[in-house]
Amino acid sequence: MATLLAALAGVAWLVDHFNVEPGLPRPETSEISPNAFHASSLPDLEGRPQSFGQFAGKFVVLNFWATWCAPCREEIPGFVRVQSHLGRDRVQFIGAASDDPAKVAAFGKEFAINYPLLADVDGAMALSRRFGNRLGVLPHTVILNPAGEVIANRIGVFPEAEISSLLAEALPKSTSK
Amino acid sequence: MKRFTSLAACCLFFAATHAAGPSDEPLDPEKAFRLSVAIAPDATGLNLRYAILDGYYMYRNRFKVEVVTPGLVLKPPAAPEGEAKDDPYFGKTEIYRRYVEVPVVFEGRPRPGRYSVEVTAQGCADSGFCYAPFTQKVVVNVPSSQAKQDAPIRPVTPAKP
Repeated sequence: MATLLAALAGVAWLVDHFNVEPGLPRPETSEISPNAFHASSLPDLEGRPQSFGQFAGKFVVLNFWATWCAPCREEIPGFVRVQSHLGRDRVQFIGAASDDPAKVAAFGKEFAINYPLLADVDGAMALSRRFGNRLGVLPHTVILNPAGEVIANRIGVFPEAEISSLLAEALPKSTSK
Repeated sequence: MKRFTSLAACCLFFAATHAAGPSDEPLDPEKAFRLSVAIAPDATGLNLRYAILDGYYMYRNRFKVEVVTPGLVLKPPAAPEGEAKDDPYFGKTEIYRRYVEVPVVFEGRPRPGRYSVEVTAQGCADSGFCYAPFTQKVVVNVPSSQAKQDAPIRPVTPAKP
């Protein structure tokens, strides 16, 4: 009995370790290098290109989303709280919307989003695909370390507790708030 | 023996949780939402038919049809009443599961011929993700006079966002 329990605990750890929800597509391997990511850009809500290079040296949570996507709307309030809790010196959330900038701006206001929002229907989706989102589904969230390397990649809702604990583990203790 | 049984149970459980069942496979939108198009029986328009896989749904207000070839004009899709979904973020919306048929009426009487038509739709999976609006191209053969075309028309291109 003890062996079975231990084995089941091991399985639970493995399932958790693989970080895949049942029924959710698994992102394929990211094909964008850290340099290519830092050299790429998306327009902000005023249409000005914003290079991802400006976020080099920080942990980045890059969330691909759209206003028409109900699961995206579900997870965003949690992102706002985590961004507020961790501060911008350590982690930078970025919302890359495959959507119309005016709709994104209205949504950002309504949800009091406290991190940069970028909007480009095709550009955001194209970048998401380069991070392995072959099907072009949303939400899609990628976490990158300060060197621009992918440390987490998920399709579907990223629960607040999980993203908090993942970032808490990844962040250097010396920079703890 | 007991230990072996436990280990076997563990392996079976692990295999079951990681088996590539249909719902775990990433599906292209044209597989989750299978489109066929037919000329309406009274030849006054098109019927878009979507067979929707279990665990997926489509939004009523997200259908769009555009004619690429000149000479055919279509009215906006008249999607039927759907299943009410009380979304915590969107409020009350209407969705379809399993199957939906959306009539698209001809504006005037089109000349017989082959027309390229792009059909756009959008849907999500219950497991918590949504497809970007996806477009499929079909070639519609509008028959001469009142001749009927019963065979469903399949998309000629994969779904593209």
